[in-house]
Amino acid sequence: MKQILPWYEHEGNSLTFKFDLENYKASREAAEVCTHFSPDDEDEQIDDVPTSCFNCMKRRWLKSGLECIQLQI
Amino acid sequence: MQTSDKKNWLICIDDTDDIGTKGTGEIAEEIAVLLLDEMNDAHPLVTRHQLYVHPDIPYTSHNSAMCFELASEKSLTEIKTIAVKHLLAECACASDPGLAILDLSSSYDRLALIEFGLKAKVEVKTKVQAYDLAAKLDVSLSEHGGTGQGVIGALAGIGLRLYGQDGRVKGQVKLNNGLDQDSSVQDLFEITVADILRRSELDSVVTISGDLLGPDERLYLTGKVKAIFWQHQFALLVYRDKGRWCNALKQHLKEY
Repeated sequence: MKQILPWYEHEGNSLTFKFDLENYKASREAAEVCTHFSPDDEDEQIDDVPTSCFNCMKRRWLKSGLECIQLQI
Repeated sequence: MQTSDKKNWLICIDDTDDIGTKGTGEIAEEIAVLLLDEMNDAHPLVTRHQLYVHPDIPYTSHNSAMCFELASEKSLTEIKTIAVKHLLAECACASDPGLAILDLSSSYDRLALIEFGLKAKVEVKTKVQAYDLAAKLDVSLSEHGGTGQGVIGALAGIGLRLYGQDGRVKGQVKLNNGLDQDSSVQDLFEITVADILRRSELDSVVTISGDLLGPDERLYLTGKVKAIFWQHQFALLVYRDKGRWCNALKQHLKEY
């Protein structure tokens, strides 16, 4: 989990992506170093670069953002 | 070939998966195949419909419903029995599956269903609202485990499919005559609009600005080739890149 902290706010069990949802660069950088990255079903992916938090099965879309649920599973 | 004793149905499921389990889209495709009258009937295309994401809505990670249209000789009871059996076998333990089935030959209130679907994209709907509307419109709506919260998305998915201007098609476009699009197109593949319509289940090719491309336009396909549901048709979405029409990127498709 520590590896992705430059890109996520950590509070309790919650990890919230610090950047906006157009920031593909940050999403890819975080996923590159994350040991928990696992691709979601291809139909649910939104980034053409495969290794990206936006494509991870452990991400959960929020009303205006994204959370990583690796600490909750 | 569709015979006169076949009826058309819309079938939609929601909330069947959990992290790491079989996806709702895959389960919908499996149900669609199980419901075919003949093994060699064309497989219905499944559309994915994005619903509202809100703290008051329990969803796994993205809150989407999966819908398909079926032409079948089967009765509602037969369809429901097969679908429910598969849901019970395949849904994740922690899921809250819902199933909606609409007889398209019935005198349903299309606009009321569309309104429910569109609202479920922007506001929190309740199970009571879903069941009330389904009962009023004679739509078969049922829950099959957990909280049954999936009935909301299942009914909304029916409405959005009726709307005809929402969602993307699950999986990749399959082309006959030599190119199996189950896997990605590794190299650039050039084809005309007329050819791709002839060789696939696509009905049209549309640009990200919403313009239809004519039959002689040339397309350049690469990577994952995916379609959207647009104006009641299965449409390939394309964008202009370096003077060429190219199949849409995932970043384009996420808007649908």
